[in-house]
Amino acid sequence: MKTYFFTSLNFDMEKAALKKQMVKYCVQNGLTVTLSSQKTTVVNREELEKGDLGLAAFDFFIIEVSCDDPQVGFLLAFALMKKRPVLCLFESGRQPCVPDFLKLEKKFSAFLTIESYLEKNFKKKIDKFLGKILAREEFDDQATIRFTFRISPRIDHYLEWRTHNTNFSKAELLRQEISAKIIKEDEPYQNYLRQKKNKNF
Amino acid sequence: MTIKRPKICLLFCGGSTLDPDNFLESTVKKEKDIDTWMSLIPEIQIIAEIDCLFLAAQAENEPHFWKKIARTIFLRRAEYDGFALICDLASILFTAAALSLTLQIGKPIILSGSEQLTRKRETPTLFESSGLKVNLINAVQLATMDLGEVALMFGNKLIRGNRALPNNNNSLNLFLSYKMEELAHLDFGISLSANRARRKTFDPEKPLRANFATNATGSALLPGMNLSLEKEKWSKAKYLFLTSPAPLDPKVEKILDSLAGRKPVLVYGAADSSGDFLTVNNLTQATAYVKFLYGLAYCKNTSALKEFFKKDLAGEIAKD
Repeated sequence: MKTYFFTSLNFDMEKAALKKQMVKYCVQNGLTVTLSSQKTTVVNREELEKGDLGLAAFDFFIIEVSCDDPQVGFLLAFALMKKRPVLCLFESGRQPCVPDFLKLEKKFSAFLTIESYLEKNFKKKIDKFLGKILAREEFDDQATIRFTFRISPRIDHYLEWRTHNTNFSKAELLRQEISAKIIKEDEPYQNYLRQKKNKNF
Repeated sequence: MTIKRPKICLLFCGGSTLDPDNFLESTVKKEKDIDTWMSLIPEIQIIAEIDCLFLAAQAENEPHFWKKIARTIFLRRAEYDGFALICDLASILFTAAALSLTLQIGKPIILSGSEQLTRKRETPTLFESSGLKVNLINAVQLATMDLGEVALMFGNKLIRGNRALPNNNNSLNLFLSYKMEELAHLDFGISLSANRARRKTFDPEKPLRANFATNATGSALLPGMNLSLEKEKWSKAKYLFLTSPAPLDPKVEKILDSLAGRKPVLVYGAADSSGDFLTVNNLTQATAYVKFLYGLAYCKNTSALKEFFKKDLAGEIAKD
């Protein structure tokens, strides 16, 4: 999952070590992190013309809002317009004022999480947010659950043969086969899902 | 329950380029460019209901244009919760000063523009290419808030329109505030300062007074200048606006005294003088000049003009 991690210049200067820890933690959790402080060599022309500066490529946003930065308003408005989940983190003890426009529509609250944190508990806050995101349907196909699966030599030989000279790992091949064939072709299961969806509406 | 969205009027007065590398597609040069332009900044619609109004592809830094903007806003003051203007940087200080002196409608009038065109662009971060968008989102937010005055929104500073000074440091904050704190600071949201003018109900019967004199002559009083030549030039002027490092040379003071008997003369920057000419040193230069032109349109003589300058019309006077 691709995340845009925004920090203000002041935060970068004053809390460089903390920022490093936060980013490291996100990466350890399997996230691909792009920092707001990174210089890109080219801003994609097509994306610029669409007006979104390439931000639409991100699955969600983490915004550190403890320090002043004029860009926060734009980033927040953009993320919420695109219905991307946003985690706004501020250091405990500060009382940042929430933008008025967030109160305009109740639907924004579904995408926005605002958490205060201490240096010792930011991991919990990020975990909580990631848990909420992964519970969302569009991330059902993200491989985030560890599952130990023993196979026979015959199966291993087969997987070795199938993945030889491809870019897939054996695990990726199995995930693909399960998603694309087994789940899709399991009629009773598909019926169950349809009934569940109708019931929820 | 959904809270009613504020309604903001967005005026285009130049300086609307969203992407300097794609000038043609991302600039409002005429009214029909607005729809395309708005599609490049859809985020703005989250903050408020926006009505757009095209005034000019490029602002004219002239009194008649200040009057046009003032009149446009004045006629719509009951219709909108606030106003946001996108303006050329070249004219923004004078425009802001003019609007602050002429429009006391008790609602926010926030000016902003693009910073990118004035900077040599290096390889951009994701956000350095979005200067106007960032400023505009903040400007529109401010136009919905409890603010009742004209202000400039650039970087993370909101500055009273008649107290703005250029900031020559290489910073996102293109302007500084003259002898007062900023009106708001941006963190997660926007925190308004206690020193701001708050929203208030306007008097619907009060007419707009937005005339300005024209044909003023400006000059800088510099050491070693040819006073004879300057005196000749000044003699032909209808109104004279001079800038000076304090204190005035006695020879210059004598010339100005003789001129002040025949025409309005203002010296900006000089220490107070007992002469017949007007000295101003408690306003920004842009505001002093605009107030001079404004005062000339309504004051019959230099005495009246001196009294006019003592009035604090819109918080423009810096009190030490």
